Amino acid sequence: MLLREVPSAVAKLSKLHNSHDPFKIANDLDIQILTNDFGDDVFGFYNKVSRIKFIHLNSRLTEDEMRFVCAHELIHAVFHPNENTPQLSRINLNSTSKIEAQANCGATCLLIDGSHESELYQPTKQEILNYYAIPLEMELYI
Amino acid sequence: MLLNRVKELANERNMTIAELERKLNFGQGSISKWNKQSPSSERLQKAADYFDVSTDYLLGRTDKRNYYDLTEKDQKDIQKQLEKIVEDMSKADSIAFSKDSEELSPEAKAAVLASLEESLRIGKTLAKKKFTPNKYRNGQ
Repeated sequence: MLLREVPSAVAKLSKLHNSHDPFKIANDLDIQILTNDFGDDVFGFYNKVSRIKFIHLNSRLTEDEMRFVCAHELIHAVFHPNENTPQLSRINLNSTSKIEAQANCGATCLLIDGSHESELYQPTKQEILNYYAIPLEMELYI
Repeated sequence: MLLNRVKELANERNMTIAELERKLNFGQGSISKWNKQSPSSERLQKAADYFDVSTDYLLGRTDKRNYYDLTEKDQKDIQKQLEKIVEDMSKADSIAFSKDSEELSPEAKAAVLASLEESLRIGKTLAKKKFTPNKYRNGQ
């Protein structure tokens, strides 16, 4: 998959599940979510065991951070289910690796559900990201 | 064997055999007779359903309470896979793991591994529940 194909694929995904909530979509897809304390460095990662997919989230994250990390790992689970090399893909906001970029892009697209258009008047990218509580590093994917 | 298993299960739930008999609407003393006189298959099934185990387990024909319980072999597999993951993790550049290529703190590493082990366990059990052919499930 190419990076520019991600937004349409994510749009399809959220339309299929009729939701922009990564937790709900993960639930629909039978993806197990585990929360544990990983310290300050690791935000979350994805793995697959015997055809069962798992998203691991750090319990120290705030609710907003958790939603973004979950969205990021959900994109991995859906679009890179067998990605084994970075077996523990840690979310790295400045990462340039291809699949991390795709996951960040996909997570950003998934969380932006269009509700800002009626709330904000001619918003800047920063304002949009703030509105959805997405990390500001993601402005290049809007 | 049968009686021992039933007693063991009842003990785990902090109930006596007499209480169990009342719960299942069996006559008084009927379960304690099971070591002399085999119960009917309906009654056996009823007891198995109550404890959520297979009838084979009650009869002592298997040590697995349910078809989806992890066997010793599964536990070994989990340990093997974990070792492999640890090995992968130590190969520095094989994973986009650490922040700005810094080493992950030992505590965080341990926490990640613990979470992975949990996922291995849950994953194996869920896979058994999901993908076991019907003919190999309890009571079929």
